[in-house]
Amino acid sequence: MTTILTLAAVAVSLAGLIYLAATDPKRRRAFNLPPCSRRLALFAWIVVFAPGATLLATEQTAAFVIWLGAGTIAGWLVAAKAPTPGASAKSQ
Amino acid sequence: MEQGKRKRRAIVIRWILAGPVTLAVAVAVMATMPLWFPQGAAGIDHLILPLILFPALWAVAFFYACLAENLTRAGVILIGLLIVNAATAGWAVWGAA
Amino acid sequence: MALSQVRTKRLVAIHGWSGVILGLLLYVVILTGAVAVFSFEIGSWSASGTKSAEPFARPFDETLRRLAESVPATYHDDISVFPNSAGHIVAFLHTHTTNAEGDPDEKGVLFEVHPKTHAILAQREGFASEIFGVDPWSALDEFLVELHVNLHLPDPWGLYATGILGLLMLASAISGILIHRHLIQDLFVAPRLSSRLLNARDRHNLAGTWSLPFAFVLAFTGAYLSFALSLGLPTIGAVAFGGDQVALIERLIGVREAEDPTTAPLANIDGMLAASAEAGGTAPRGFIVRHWGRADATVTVSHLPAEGDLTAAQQLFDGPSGRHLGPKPGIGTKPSAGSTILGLIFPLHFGNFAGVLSRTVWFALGLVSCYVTLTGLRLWMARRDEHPVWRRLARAVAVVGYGLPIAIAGSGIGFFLSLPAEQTLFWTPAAFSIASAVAIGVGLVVHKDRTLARIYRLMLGIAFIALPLLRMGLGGFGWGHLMESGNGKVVAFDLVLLIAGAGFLVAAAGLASRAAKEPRAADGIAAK
Repeated sequence: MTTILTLAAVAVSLAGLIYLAATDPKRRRAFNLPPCSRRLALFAWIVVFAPGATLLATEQTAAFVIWLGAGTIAGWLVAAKAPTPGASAKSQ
Repeated sequence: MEQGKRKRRAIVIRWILAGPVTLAVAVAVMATMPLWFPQGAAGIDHLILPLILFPALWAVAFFYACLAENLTRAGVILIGLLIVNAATAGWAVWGAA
Repeated sequence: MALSQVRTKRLVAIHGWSGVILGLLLYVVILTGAVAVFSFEIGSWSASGTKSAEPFARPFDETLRRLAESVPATYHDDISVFPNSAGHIVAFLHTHTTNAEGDPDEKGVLFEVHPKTHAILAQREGFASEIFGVDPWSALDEFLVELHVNLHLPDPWGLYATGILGLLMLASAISGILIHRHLIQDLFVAPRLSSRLLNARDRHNLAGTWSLPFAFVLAFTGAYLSFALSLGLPTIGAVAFGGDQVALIERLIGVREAEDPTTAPLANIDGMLAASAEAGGTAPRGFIVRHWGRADATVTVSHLPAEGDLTAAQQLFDGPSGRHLGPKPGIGTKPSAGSTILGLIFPLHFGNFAGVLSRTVWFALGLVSCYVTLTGLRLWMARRDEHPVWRRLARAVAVVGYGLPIAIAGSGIGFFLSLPAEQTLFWTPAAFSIASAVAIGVGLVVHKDRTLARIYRLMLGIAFIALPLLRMGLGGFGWGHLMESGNGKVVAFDLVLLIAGAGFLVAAAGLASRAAKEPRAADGIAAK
């Protein structure tokens, strides 16, 4: 049960982290990608933290702590993967 | 030249304060906490929480020693804390016997 | 928190210099800690599986009485019974005294009992500090745990050393937060490619930022664990108990104060274990009988946390009547702030509260912290690359970075090669030293960084693949037997080592083909 809950929570948070990374303005600027026209940052952060809050509220303490740890690893792996630099860099 | 000497002396003093003095202060404060910390519901909080809080005691003293602009005042406060707590702990160990 | 430029420069200097001076030792403690998360599984794997997943499945009462009757009554003060990683039941019947060095210690008789037949497999008498950790089957996991806990330095210096390293890690985590002005804005900025130095800085900052919560918790709890026994308890014992550490420990544990030495036989232990399982929600993992054969005897039964919980309460029983007295906190006789906080320290540090899942995540977090430490050192060296002294130290970072896992794998190889002759207590640490010397020797002889990295990866690949082959080839059980006996974890461990070993060999081959395509690639810091 703990395993299933934790993996589900991490998967949901991971989706939010992937969106945040893909649309991060500083990340896009650093790799010469055009800025995102619309970024739902607040919504994405809610998606990231909601699973953890749910685990805490339902007293799934072990799953919550593992989610925290796994979430930070997931966030790092998502952020560390460099996007393909934009065409503007190649054309310059 | 004089300024360079003063700067190096300040660095050495800061390293001594942030190093051995900070560690000694943390140990001394931990030692005296059982004498004043509330015992708690099970009568053991004053024994176990000083042990648990030891890294925090050290961190507070360490960053104070690192970031204090007035090195003299920082030295006086830290060494003062050390003397007061060490004396209190010493009295608890040997004086009360 | 916005700091002045002077303070920021000072913190950068402290963060950097403390990392440079002690960073490699910190890496040793973190990596061995990550490995030690699986110490129980390593012990079980090196013994080719555990003999019983539930050590107390067979009634133990008769055996316990037999063991108690076979030792002098002085050793009836405490009887600790718990399973080891091979699934043997270890029963230590002892009294509390001081050893030859004047330190508090326990003296008694230790029995190792087969969980299914209850035959006595081993028996040793003496001080706990001498008779624990001398079982040849536990040599590998004990060696790795001791390396993490005290760097194999004598007490108390080893604990002081790892305690100081814990404080260093704490200071690095806090100073890292204070130095990094754009912590949140840089959260998703991948390591930039525009310059080598910027890339090195970004790698360190990104990994450091994301692992901050874990680094902080690990450093704090690690420093507590190292200093509590070596410094804290003697200090508090001196101030609050006139130097009587035994009295301090008994007060913390919550030993019943009322003493009644009247003879009274202990109630049936199996009944108490069954009642404890019902109350605790999980099977018992061990128990302690205090004051065997007396009217004031108590039995405290330990459990693993129930599904979803972080901690587990012990269950307390009255010894002569077997009456369940209720849950007992880890310390003290009733719940308190101290017992709650202390109860969190162990699961948060060891990561052993939810089986393989929590251990795997903690292991991964440990590897991330290793990456933060090594990239920090590499960043420091890269900034000073023009100076020969720093270039040599950069080589040392590569040697230790690769050399430590090579040495750890080497200790495993030494363990298996010496197990048939039961010489593991000598050869496990000896093989660690030999493998370290080989890794250092290779680092001194090979000049090109990329060639060095390729050789180290080859060594790691070969060592990792050799481990499960040696385990099976030198008397260990094969996969069929292990699956049938419920030891699937041993098979999983073998597979992980084989896959990791293959991965290192592929990585080494990848470096070789890159070197062939770019024969004149500039030497820099060793490839990652």
